[in-house]
Amino acid sequence: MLKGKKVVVIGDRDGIPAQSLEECVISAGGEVIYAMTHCYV
Amino acid sequence: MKYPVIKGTSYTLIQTPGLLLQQATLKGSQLSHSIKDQLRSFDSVVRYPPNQAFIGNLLPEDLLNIPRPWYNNALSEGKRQGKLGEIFPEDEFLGVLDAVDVYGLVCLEAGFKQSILQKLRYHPALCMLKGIKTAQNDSFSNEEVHEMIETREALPLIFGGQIIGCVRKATVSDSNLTASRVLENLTAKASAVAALQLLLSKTGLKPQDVDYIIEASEEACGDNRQKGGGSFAKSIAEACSCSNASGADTRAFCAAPVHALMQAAALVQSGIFTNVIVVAGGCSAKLGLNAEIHLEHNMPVLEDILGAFAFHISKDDGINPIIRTDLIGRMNVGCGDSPQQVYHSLIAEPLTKGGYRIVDMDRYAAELVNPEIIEPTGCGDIAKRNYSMIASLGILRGEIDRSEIEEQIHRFGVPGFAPNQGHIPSGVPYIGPARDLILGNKVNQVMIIGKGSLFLGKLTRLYDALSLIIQRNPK
Amino acid sequence: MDQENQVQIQELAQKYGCEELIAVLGSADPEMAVIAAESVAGGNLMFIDPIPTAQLGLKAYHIVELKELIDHQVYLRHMEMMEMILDISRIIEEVSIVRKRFFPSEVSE
Repeated sequence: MLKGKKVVVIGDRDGIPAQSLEECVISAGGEVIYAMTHCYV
Repeated sequence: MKYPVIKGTSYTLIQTPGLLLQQATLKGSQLSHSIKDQLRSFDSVVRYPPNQAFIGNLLPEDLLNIPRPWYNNALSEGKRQGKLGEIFPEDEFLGVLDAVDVYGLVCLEAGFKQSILQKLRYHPALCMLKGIKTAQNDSFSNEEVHEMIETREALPLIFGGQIIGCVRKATVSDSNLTASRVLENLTAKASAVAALQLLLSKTGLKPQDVDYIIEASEEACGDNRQKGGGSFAKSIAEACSCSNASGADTRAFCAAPVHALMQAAALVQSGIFTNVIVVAGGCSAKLGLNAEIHLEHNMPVLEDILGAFAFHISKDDGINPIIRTDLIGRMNVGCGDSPQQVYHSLIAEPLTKGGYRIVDMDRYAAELVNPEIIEPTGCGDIAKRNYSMIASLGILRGEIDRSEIEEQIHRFGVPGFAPNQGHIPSGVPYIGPARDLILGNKVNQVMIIGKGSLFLGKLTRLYDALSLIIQRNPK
Repeated sequence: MDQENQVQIQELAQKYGCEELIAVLGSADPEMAVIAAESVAGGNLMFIDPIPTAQLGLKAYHIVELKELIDHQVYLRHMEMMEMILDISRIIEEVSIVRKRFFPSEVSE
């Protein structure tokens, strides 16, 4: 399902931030085309 | 090894409903009228339990015994003065704003200026400010104030529903010195000045004995060619008559206060300076950040306060709690943002180096923003989540058993109690309570954690964090 | 989600189409995961267009829903600690409800 897909990652600084999500997505064959991390404080 | 000590702390809160309404108007919010109906009185701000914790009349830990929502469980009595600080109303703040403005950009109406100066001259700490003792001889008529607002892009200053003055832009065409930027920066300066003056008054540290000031807010002052040139620090030193001090600003988003404490500790331990101040004022742009959500939830608009703090770091006196400069936890560039790697670098590495386990710390203090303010946005209790991460790191390391996770979080996690002011809640609100508890032999060691969302500046995708251990003085 | 990020995502959604583009979330709180999934699906484009006509139309998955697709060692490196904290079953349930609500014709997960 991730293989060959383009992916927008939306991280959470006090959860799972963008770079960690990106590494996971890439390992599953997805291509990250936009990454952001949110901070709620 | 001789370590530097935390010799004094001060905390201030300033209720600024006028600035909040102005922020709402600037953002074009349709809700400024509804906000007006849900504003809190100064008395309810004073009796609000987290605010009493911020100024030291209540331990943050004791908030857990007060049922939520805290805004419906105000204390029957609350004092604006506390063991660690003070809560100021907006009129006094506007007086300080005028007193610290050295370019004639804050223009107060004559009657208001006279009465507020009179009031501030009776304040035990603020009466010492030279801008209060010998006020600049400028005041304006109501007509002049309105004329500046209507024709010269000045921003109104409001107290009690009335326009009592305005802030002018500092140049004709520089977008970095518009009235709103001037007001933002003077707000950070004035609130920091109040915190430092309070610190001097509470601790007896003489202004002329201050060697260096590190300012750690999130504002940037400068003109078009040097937008974040600074220096808030030296301007604050000047306003508080610290004539032998110099200083500079440290920036790292919300992590800046902990970076600044580390730098202050290093300056003292190296012998470069004896008395170093870390100070930061409040952020007007964060007033009413979640006001619309609070209104949707039928809550009072809780983000109506500015926060500020000042800490005095000095050489070892054999009494005060030490900063373990050999046990700094940090997030190196190579660390990335994987939660377990971050917590390993930030928490486990310095503890291991010092021969401690996670459970050896009596308290951890991270992201101390009052949960009541942010939970309605859907993000949960961020302080508590940080403690959950620390506890789960303990499980991964085999230092904590899964069955005791809640118990450990309850034991070591300082609940959030600070206003939603970015750098203000970032661990450091607990330094005052920690110092008192350590001096009273109630706890031995505390880890303070600051986190900063560097990615918001669009120069890096990284975020940052730094931790410090404060410990009982070994004598 | 802030205006800038929504504008960026809208541009990407228009460029690549919603078949090819998905969103992956790292929210720690189930409630925030739902808010994020709703914003990329439905969007809140009031600030772009006073009468919003466009939807972002992206399907969102929380990272914990994709565990089986991710290299085990990579997943462990980033998620082992977070798995102890996250309310995984609630996140999976609530984020998939958002997908079903916005994309009712595509029931297979």
